[in-house]
Amino acid sequence: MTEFFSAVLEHSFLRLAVLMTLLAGVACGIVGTYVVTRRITYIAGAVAHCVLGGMGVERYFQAIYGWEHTHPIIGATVAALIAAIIIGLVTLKAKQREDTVISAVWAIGMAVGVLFIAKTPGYQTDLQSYLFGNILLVSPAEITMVALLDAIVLTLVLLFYKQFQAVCFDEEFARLRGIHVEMYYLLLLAMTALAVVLLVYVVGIVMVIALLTLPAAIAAMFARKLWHTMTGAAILATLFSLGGLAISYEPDLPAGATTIVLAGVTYITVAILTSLSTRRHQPG
Amino acid sequence: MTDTHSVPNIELRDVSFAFSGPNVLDAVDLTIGQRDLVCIIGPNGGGKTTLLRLILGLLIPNTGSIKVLGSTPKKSRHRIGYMPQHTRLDPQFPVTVRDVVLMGRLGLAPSAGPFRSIDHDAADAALKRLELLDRRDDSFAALSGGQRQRVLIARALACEPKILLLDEPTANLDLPIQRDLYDLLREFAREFTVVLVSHDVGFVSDFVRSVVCVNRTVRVHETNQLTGDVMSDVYGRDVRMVHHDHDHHHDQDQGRDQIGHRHD
Repeated sequence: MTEFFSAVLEHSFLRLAVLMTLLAGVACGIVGTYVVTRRITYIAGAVAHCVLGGMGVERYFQAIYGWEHTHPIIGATVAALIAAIIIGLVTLKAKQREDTVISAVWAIGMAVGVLFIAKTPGYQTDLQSYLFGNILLVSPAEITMVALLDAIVLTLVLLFYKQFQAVCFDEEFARLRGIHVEMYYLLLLAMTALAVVLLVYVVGIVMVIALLTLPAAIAAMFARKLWHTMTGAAILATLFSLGGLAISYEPDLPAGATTIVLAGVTYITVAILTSLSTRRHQPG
Repeated sequence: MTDTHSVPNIELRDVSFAFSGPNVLDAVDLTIGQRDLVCIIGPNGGGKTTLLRLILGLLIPNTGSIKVLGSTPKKSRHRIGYMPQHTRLDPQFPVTVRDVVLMGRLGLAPSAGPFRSIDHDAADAALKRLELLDRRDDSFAALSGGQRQRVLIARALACEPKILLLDEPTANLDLPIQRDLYDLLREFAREFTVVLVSHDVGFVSDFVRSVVCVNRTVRVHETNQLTGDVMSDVYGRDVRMVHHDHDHHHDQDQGRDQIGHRHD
């Protein structure tokens, strides 16, 4: 661990990685809280896997047609937003078999990505880092993009906190109060898409759902208010990814996987401890 | 009781509704007057909830017309304070009592940014009427079922309603607390129209002006007409549904189940 901290001072790529954990933590805390309370984890999972499609397409055109000025994060964002809107419209309009549609979007997004990456020269390392994350390869351009996505999410939540809260808590009542429930739901899915893109850089596509939901689930056990949950989840998400980075550095473990194991073990421990303590407080 | 009851707040004319299949509600005519206090009763699956959802504009009738406060349900619904059953909500959701009541101010507060101080004042005033002001900073999850139900009534009050629509407000309450709640609802009915759905027909007829029996069709009974053998039918151990000429008397068995709840 001490080696990690001296390395942070020494290497700029590690400083970028630390900055990334902070920026991703903000979006993760806010959006993760909505995903957990509105119970749309599965949708977040599908959106995450569609990111591979966007990155694959972008990377392919970059390599084959020399799109120099683009970046996979743009493809990732576009793909995530498209997936979120498709799933959103399907869940709003067709009340049946939405899980089938979500799974289909999940797999198709992934498949498109695999196809394009297979035809892109030098795909091996790309595929690995997209799927499992490689926070150590984060570039300054990516940090700028991530900060921008963070700013969008923060602005939306600061403006419409009360509407999002009402839509997540009691959709029918919100509708009766004249809230455009469908619009806020789609906006919520769009924010989920943006947060997922950020988290792909930290832990990779496969493990995004865990980092999005576990910190919020832990924070929700103790919080009395939605924004308390968000703050707690943001701090926890940052601590987990920072911890994962620090722990993995010396033994040269994959940082993303270390982060998720850290978050998972914490969640299970807290869940067991709280259930034990409530049982003690409830006689019989 | 003034003659404001003759001003209609809710009017259904020849309303029929079906999801896909037989009609859930059939040729319903119903008028509820201003500042009326009305209870909707009927067996489960008889169409009570459907009737509520039609009045709220969440469902559209297949035939017939519905007017609420002189306009369509959709246009008028922001003036309805609606209390759903709390069991529909996620009990783990991280909100305080006051957060929940503040949701009643949506549509009254500006859409961007946080609630204003007058919204907080209105929420506190509503909580005070339900005697829950001292619990306002508590977690909604920490309350009992009955308390949650009362928080949702406070939320409906915070809407500044012309009509209060309550779905089973007494479902989780002990009898003395039920009595308090009915007294409160009677007080509300001096200010606005109060419509509630209840299973406890015998108890409720002490408090409301008329009872609306819903079982595919709708019959209205003034409670002051619920005398003599009708009353004993309603209150007796061997209870039957309120006497009326519904075209299906086999529902009496279901009616017995309904009223049986109050003997639990």
